[in-house]
Amino acid sequence: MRSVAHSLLLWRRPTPLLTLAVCSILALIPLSRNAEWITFCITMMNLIVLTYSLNMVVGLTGYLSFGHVVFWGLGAYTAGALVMATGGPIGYNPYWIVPLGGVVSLVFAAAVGYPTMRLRGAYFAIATVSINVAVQTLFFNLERLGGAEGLPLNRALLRLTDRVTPAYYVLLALLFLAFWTHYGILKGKAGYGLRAILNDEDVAETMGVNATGYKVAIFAAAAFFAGVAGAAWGIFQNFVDPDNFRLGISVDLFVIMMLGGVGTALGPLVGGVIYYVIRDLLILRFPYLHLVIFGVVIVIIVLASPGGLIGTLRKRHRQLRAVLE
Amino acid sequence: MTPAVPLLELRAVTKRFGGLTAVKDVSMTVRSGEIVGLIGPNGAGKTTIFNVITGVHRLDAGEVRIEGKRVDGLARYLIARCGVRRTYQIVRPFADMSVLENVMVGALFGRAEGQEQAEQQARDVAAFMGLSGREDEPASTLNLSEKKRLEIARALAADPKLLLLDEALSGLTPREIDAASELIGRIRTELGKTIIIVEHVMRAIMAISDRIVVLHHGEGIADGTPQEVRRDRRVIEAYLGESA
Amino acid sequence: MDLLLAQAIANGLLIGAIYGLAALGLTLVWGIMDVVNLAHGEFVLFGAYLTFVLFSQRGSLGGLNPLLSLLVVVPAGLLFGAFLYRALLRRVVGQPALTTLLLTFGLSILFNNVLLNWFGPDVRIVRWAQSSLVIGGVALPWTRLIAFALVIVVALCLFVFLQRSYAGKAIRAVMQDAEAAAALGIDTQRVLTTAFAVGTMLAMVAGVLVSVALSFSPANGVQFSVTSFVICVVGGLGRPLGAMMGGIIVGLVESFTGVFITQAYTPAMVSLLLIGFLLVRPVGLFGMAER
Repeated sequence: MRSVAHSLLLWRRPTPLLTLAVCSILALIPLSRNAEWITFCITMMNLIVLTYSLNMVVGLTGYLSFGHVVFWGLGAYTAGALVMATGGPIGYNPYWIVPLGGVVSLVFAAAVGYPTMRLRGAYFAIATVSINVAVQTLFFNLERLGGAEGLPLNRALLRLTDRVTPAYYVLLALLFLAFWTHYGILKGKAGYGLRAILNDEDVAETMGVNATGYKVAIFAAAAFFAGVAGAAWGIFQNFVDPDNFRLGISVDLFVIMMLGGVGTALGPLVGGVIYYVIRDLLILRFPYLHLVIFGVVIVIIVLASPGGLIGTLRKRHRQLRAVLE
Repeated sequence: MTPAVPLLELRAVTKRFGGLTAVKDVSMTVRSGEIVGLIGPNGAGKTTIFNVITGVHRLDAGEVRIEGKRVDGLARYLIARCGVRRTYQIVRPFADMSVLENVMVGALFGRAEGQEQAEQQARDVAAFMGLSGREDEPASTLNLSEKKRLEIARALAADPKLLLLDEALSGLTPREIDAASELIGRIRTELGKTIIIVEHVMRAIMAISDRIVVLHHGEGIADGTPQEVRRDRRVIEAYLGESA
Repeated sequence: MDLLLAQAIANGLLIGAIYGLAALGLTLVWGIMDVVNLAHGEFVLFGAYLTFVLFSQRGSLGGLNPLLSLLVVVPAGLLFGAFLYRALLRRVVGQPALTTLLLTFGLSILFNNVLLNWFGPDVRIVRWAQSSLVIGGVALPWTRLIAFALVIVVALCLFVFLQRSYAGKAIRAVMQDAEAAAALGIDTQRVLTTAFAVGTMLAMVAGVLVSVALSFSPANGVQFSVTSFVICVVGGLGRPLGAMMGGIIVGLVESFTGVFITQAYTPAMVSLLLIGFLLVRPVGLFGMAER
């Protein structure tokens, strides 16, 4: 009870209001019926939600989930499998399917997270890559769900208009929910616990913090968001294939996350918008060069301004601290 | 009224590290409201005892009971939630957090209910430990004496039943030692905490403790009042035999 | 012995040796400065593409033995590694894992896409010695046999270097206890530079062998990094012998999976190998417990 009241009090702070403003603008876009804008926004929001998901893990627990895209792919394939299932209302109503994509990813993350989060640093990072590759291989060979060619969802009732609008609003809702979750964690008891774990896990444990529990819970929650986004994306595209597990997507997410500022609540939003706009400009002219540039960006950020955009702004301008969290 | 069940009980506790037996068949009892001093030459096993109580090490033999309930083998955070908190020989503050935030962690994961109560508790404890002026400073900027007080504040903020202080006085000037000793006494009298204190500063620990337990080469060799222990032949041999 | 089994073993050994050589560089660097170089796979690719450029293009030295490219690759690898260390890596050694991993991650993206940009995504191979030696029905491609021999030679050279030369002993000293080594007057920075240079060079040499014995494209970059990583975990950090053993093991796992299950499942099996070791024996076959 008390924490709900506490949550509502957070509304009055600048950062959530800022996010709410941005989300309100995004909510109006579909009304314009401009297909280009809508597609642009859906793709961008998808990336932002995924970055929030990654940011929760990397920023709050310090674990490098390089294979994070596996949760997105699992969500997509869950949607695919459910749509393909003959009969039943679920196959026709995207709003049912989408949360289930999140649930599958959440369960998988909890199962996988518990043993692997005992590993430190590089070991965990490569283990996630390994898991991602393994799952991708699995679906690559799973003929029932399309195998290498992929699975078209293609249900008669899922016309373009049936797909775009739900996908758009699901992703928008996810975006705000992801921000809200991250922000709430940062400000609440969990935030203190997680920072304590990051500083000195052993000491935190002897102070009553269930380190493993927290880490796995965050990992699972993050996976949930990625899974729902994946399911929404699968429905939007009306198609899922092993490319939904492509490691290169993780690269994009890391760039966005670092650009915005690892661990910050606004980072994924700000970084996502900037990244997506720049990428759209670059990708037209230099199909592969944009990745070279982003590689350079990562190196520069690591060496020069590890806090990313939000982090650096907070450091330089103390007055902005309340606004940019 | 002290309850019949002791707050902490160690029964025949043994801990080995490979070929080395750090603690051998040690038993001790601590009653609620006591201040028990744990002394012994270097390597006697004192910090190991603390580690065993807080669940950092698994026992090879014996039992640890808190208020009668067996806790050895439990996860560290569960043991902590039974009401045990400790400080460390070499201070380990949460470097990236402020003083208040450090103490907040203690409060939030202790017996405080809700964030407002925790914050109030944290401020009160910080004030008690004399850290009020430094609340928003990063913990890494404190000097040693302040860091030691922060360690204690962080543990106290959880409102524990049992407080384990591991060489809280080492590295302090004589005046700081006197102030700290007085503070520790007040923790027992005003806050009602039970304390086990590991220390090398003899005059301080002899002065504060109700009872002293002496360890040597991992075994308990004496257990009594400071006066008794001071005159105990085995204790004298243990210390002088090592040529200090 | 069943012919299929024999062929699987032969394949595994020959390819595994090359993997082992690639991993040697990584285990050396990881063992001495606790930095996992995520761009390692790209170093292997550099070696491969360098050979490709020198010996495979029209108007290049095609027709000559591509292994001659080692004359270029070895010094290039040493210089490149030394440069990278002094320019970038020196700044992050000692910092938390997050920082070093992200830095090498960025480098990996940078290098991979430079290659992709320059050479395109096509799979390449340097054509040379097309025939195979056939013993008892088992086909042993000459390229791989010679590569195997070269791996042995390089491994021996490395062993001699580490055991006999001053620089090599200094590397082993710093790997065991950097502070003590510094107290004895060893210039740690120079040792780290040397170690990274040698590690890079070894990866690039492995790349040369890959170019003739296997095929390659920029997409293999991540794969080489992950495989080298798995080998380091299996063999133990900073253990050259472990890297060689690990390489053989991974080579055999891949080969057996390819022959007895399907080629497509290879990444999954290697993943299982990694997870298995991480859970059961994280220090690797020859590794020691945590410092």
